[in-house]
Amino acid sequence: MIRHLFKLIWNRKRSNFLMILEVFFSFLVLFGVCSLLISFYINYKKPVGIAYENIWVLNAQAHDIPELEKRQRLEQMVKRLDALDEVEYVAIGSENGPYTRNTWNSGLLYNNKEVIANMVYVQHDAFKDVMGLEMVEGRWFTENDASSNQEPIILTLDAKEQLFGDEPAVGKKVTMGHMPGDPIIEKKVVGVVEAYKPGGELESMGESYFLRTTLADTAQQSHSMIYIRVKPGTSPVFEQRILDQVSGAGPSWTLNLQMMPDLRTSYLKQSLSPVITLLIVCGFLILNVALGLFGVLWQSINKRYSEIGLRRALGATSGNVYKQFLGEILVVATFGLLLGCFFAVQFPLLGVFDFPAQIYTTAIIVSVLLIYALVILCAIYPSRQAAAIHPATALHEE
Amino acid sequence: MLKNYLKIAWKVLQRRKFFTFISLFGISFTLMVLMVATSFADYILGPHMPEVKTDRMLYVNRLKVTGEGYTMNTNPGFYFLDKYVRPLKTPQDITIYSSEFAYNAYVDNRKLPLGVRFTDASLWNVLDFVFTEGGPFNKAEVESIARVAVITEATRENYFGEGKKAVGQYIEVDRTKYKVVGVVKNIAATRTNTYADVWVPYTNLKEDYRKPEFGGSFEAILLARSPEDMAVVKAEFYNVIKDVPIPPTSNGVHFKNLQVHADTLVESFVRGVGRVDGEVNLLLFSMFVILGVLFFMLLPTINLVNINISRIMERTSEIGVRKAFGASSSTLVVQFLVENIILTLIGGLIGLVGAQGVLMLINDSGLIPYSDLSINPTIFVFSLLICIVFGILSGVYPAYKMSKLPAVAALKGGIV
Repeated sequence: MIRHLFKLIWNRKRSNFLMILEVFFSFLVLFGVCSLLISFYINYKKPVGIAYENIWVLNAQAHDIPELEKRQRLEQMVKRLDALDEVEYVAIGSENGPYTRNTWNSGLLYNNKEVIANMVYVQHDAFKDVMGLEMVEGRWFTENDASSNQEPIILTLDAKEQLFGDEPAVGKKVTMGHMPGDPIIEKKVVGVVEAYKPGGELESMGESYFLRTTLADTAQQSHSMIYIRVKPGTSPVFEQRILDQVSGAGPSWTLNLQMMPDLRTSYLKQSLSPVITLLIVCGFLILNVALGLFGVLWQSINKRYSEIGLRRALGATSGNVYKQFLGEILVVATFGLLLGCFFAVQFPLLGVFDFPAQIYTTAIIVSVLLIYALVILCAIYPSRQAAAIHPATALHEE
Repeated sequence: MLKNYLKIAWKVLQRRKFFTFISLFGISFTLMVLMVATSFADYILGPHMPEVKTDRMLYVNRLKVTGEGYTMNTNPGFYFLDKYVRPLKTPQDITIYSSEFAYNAYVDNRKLPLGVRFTDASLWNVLDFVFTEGGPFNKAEVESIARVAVITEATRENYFGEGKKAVGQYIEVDRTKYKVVGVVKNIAATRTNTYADVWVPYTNLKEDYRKPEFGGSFEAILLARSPEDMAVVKAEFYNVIKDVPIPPTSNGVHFKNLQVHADTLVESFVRGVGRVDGEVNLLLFSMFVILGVLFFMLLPTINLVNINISRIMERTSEIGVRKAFGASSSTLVVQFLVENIILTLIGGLIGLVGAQGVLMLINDSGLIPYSDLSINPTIFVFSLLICIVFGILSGVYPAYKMSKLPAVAALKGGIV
């Protein structure tokens, strides 16, 4: 039966050529969109690990004042903010905070294995509570780390798994990525947090590590992002009070306070609007193709009126006719899909766009299924019409 | 003759309503997407307020310094622009202004985010703002560090209240009070090089902008005397840049190479999107765009060809009769093409209405702050062109196939 159908289509390949071409291009479009969506979904499933709801971010930039004074002022600001009733935790950290779109990536080495990760400097130990990070192994930074002669480092689970696999990481020593000629910096892992993905929901990189510095440690660069966790339900009016508290620091400071939920919304809006546009356009392209296929199939069945009549007269049941027409369109789709798959498998083989191969294979499978579903949907009504043709009327007309 | 074709086309369209619907749906949607896209491109790259003289403007807004294993991509700093770009002889005018600084103002316990640019007085000559109240600040005010500001209408409404006058009142930005001297019409956020809510003299900047560093947060626009003069200005610019001494070291890094460009708006856009380092190849870019558009149109075109063939096969007997009475193949091809172009034009008209609706929707949604997207005459002509190309593209093959039908078989109504 199937061989017979292939023969039928092959014999009329010229008139079916356009339909095959249409299936082919629809498949490519679907394949592209599916790859994108699947990669987004995989990124989305990786936890962000940050309880962003009640975090406010204050960027305090000092201009033209001595470094020492700047550090003292920052320390003062943190103390004052901490004293406020509405504030739960305050911590200064590096400028590449969640949803800020600032990124600092750096390598980390262990046993010749390297992982590229977000590098986060933590200047106050309350950082963990501000961000709402969950420990899965070891501990977070403590005061004692300042006096320890081993510099501590904390990894995210993603980074830990890449470096150590299933083994425990606490107590092991890693080296920071370095340029040739620079001194090698060794750090001791003291803990692993579940997740910290400052790039946001749609970011693929879940590997991060935290380094501890203090404002008192003048050998290290000081940072100026103050992360504040406020009590749930704090009104935005409180912003003004925060600014009043810190603006006493002096006129040479530029202060910019933002709420992390706002940062997140604008981040999502900016990353998602092109994707949604793409989805709408592709959706209409596919709908367009579906309507076209439907029309063409209907038309071709009208043209083969007498053929159907003859088959029915020779004893084919209406079910047989129905199956034949559905089968034919499936074979046409298969030709188009074979051609499409040939091009689609080049993507994982040649490693285009740096997506993992698994995304492409899933996308191919999903698109193939979608195309089959689409053609069957388009063929059901015309095929049923063909099956309903009465042999006597069909032959009579001939 | 043409009138006859039109009549036939109209009748054919009415005959199979479902097919007409499918065709029109595909055509109008495809053309709508293309029109919206062109309108966007025009809005980003065409001359729109305040960048009206784009054919005479060159943008200097990126600076790249490379050393051993070190690359710095930033905006040029004030020092660099003031020292090397400001003295250029050939431009009619030069403006140097900061990139957008984000501040929050607080009005009645409400937060109002403000984009602020610190600028010189030439900005008001190089760019064409529309003042609805007051006027710009002048050079003397910039030099005397006057605390004056020009704001947009939206800022006036949000800060001072609806329908209020702003000139003479004070606006507080980053804990400094500025006296409002002028109000301009809103600038769309797509004007990334000039968009702002508030403009104040650059001398008010808190950070030390005169530091002798190449990088920073400033931009410059050079205004040539005439569009023909652009090449001269560019030549002088690159001639000066060539001789700029590269700063020897900074933070222990040895710099080797400095790259700054004076680009037109389109070049600057392509450089940003394509991360181009050297000369921007506009031809290559347009090829990419055309290929992209063709790829997008491919699927609807194949679909339309497919439907057109089906429709023609219905009309075999008509074609047979016409052939038997002496119509040549080319007459039939022309007839069918005309029919198809008419169909496309109707689709285009629907698409135009749809595009206008989508643009209005985007304007209302606030997706792009202060956008005022619309279909202007250029876009209309362009879309008409797209329609005709689309009509011919999707009509040629079916028409050719039709004209090749053998008259005898066609008359008999046989299946080909």
